[in-house]
Amino acid sequence: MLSRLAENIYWLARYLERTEDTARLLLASAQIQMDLPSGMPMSWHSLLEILGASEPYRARHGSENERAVMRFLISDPAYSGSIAASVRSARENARVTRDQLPREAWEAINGLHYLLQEQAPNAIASRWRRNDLLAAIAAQCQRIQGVLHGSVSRGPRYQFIALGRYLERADMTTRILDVRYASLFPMDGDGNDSYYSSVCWISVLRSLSAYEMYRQDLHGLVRGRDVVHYLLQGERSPRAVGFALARIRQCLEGLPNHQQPAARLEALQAVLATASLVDLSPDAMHEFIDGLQQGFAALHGDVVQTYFRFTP
Amino acid sequence: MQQWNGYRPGTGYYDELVDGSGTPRPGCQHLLEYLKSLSVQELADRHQAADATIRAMGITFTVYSDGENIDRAWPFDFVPRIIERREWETIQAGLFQRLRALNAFIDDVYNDQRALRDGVVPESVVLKSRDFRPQCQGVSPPHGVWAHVCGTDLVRDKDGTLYVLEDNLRVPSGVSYMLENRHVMKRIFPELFEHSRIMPVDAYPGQLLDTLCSLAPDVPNPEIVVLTPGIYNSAYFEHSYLAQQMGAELVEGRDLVVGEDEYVYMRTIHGLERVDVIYRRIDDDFLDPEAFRPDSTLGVPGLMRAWRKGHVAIANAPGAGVADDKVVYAHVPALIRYFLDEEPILPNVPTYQCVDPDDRAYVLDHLAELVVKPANESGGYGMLIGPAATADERSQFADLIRANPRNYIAQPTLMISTCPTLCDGELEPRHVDLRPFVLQGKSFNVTTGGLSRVALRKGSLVVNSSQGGGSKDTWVVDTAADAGPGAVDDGTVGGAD
Repeated sequence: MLSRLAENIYWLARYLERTEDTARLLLASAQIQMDLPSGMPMSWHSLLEILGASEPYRARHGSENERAVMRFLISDPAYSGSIAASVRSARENARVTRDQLPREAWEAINGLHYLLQEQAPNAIASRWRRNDLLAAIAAQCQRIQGVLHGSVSRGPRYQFIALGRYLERADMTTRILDVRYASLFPMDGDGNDSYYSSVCWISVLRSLSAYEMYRQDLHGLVRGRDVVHYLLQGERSPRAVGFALARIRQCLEGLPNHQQPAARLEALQAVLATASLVDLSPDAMHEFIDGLQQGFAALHGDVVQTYFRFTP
Repeated sequence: MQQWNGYRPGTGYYDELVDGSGTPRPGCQHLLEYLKSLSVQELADRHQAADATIRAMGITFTVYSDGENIDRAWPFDFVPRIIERREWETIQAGLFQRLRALNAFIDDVYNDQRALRDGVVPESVVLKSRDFRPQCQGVSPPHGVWAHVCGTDLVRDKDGTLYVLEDNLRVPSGVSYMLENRHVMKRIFPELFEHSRIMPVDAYPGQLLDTLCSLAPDVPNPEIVVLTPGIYNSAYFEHSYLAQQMGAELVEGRDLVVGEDEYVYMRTIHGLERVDVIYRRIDDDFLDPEAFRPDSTLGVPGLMRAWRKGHVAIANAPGAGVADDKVVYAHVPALIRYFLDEEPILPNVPTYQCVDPDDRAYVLDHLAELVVKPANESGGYGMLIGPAATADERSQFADLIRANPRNYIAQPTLMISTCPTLCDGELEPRHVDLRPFVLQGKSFNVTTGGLSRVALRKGSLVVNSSQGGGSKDTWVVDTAADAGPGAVDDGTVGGAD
């Protein structure tokens, strides 16, 4: 497989995952917004923080209001992290690799592009239209993932898709936990706040479409410390970091010359498995997650060096 | 009210589907019956469905001047153009004959130059051609074939004769659209395919792959790649389509590297892998900055060294475009007689060469009746269409011809045939041409039919998609097979199910 194509496919998968994750996050946040008394820490601002968009947003807009934030995160073509920009990048990467992909995959990606083009302009201002659009985007992403899962032959092509998907997913899950933990953990006791705290942690699970499965796996009041363990060290939820790293390991084992990235991954897995995460202070949690994210970035760098940018 | 009943071909033109009285030509009856059975609303619905299908399938082409929008939906008209199988067999034989002669000629140009010495084609015309590549002299590609893929444009004149308008031997494109047009038709009009013997077109990618494999150096599993300039090229859709259909890698110049051993390699996730055959879709000029334009970033430094050594095959071979020249075109009938000792099966459009003093005098006297073309342009650029031009334009062109007679040829204005085409909800006659694709490697193949291009503007003769043309599915219909029991041409089966 050509290095250039491997790189394109890897990025295609990352952009698709980013699109879906962002849509889910915005959708779950809109839901919880309706349940919470005003002043609770699930504000529009925290969305910008999770998505690393606070700086670019402030550079272009003044105050944070729902409509402006949503427009920025969903349809602003000039902001490279918006859903529209991710879809455009995904489609560009699909276009140059379409000879490598099942035709159905290209058609589905194209469908996502048209969905956004046609509906985004009118959907931002109205909450119900916007929620419909976000749900449709997530569903279309699932369809694309389904086609890729169901029809791409298992070989390097598939490994690079999965590699991109799970690296992006691990990154997104840690970003959400980082921001939510900082604001919710202080309320995670047994006082009056704990009811709302629980509702908020449910929303965190929902934004990772992990709530129902969490309920199946664990019982009782949804508490931060359990959710953190479930989503970081757990290997059952497909959105959990532990699960993603295990999948990345399988991908690397299916690729040639994987010594360097595989060694990096093993070290990361060891750190995660042995970490004691019970009742960490928000600062300590932030530090731990920061370390994980640096590990993901280094792993990405190893993949780039090994497969995409080698010099003969 | 059905619009179809009102369809009348334009007077003075040959219509591909009906004769002057509106009677279907052989092989067309079933289609016409079927179209008549559709209401105006149904026609509109199918038209819309075709557009939606093309969009959903992502069948696109690129227009350079179109800014951000690098992929426009492919313009398609759903009324097919029909050719009877018996006529097609003659055309096919004529195309093969033509390509054999052209390849013998190219091989001769870069080796013995026998035809030049014998005066079959003026030496100066060939050696001064823009597409003559001295870098190719002395090379003997496998099977003596240089042009492995040829797209030959055919047009039908008012008396029904098919003429060869030009041969495209450099990097002819359009075959993917021919294949996709058929897919779209099958999705939109599945009923039509039940009753007619429409010969399939899907064999092409396999035949192309066989042709390319037959050029490979002696290795068990040759690595075949399609070399594209990239996604901004107008034919990128086709490049990726063909690579996919053949199961070949689609590469850009930056993916390839020539090693110290003068073999060609591609950069893969496993490291470097050897490449045996390159189906190149970039022009000679950009192939190898060492041999041609030093500023090319699309090509591969050292590629020509590897090719000259026989370490890699290139299709079409560098230098094959020397026979693309419209002055060489004028000599193809002579080349067929000279190299093959046969009479040409397909006629050329009568062509005047301005480099010849007598021809030039005639052309300058008759500019109002002629089409004048530059020898080396494609895409319909830089032409004079005499009957449509103003006196001023004609006199400007006369000056151009006098200044550089070598660069111009002239042909009578043909009354190009028409085909019913849906325009603003009604079927109207529009001019069509036809580009079949011919393959020559160890063996030989011609597409069943080809890409029919149609001028969508009323009265326009320009069919190029970059200039607003559209396309049609092209059916080669076996009427002999329909003559048996259950025949449909007796009018008993017509109509929708």
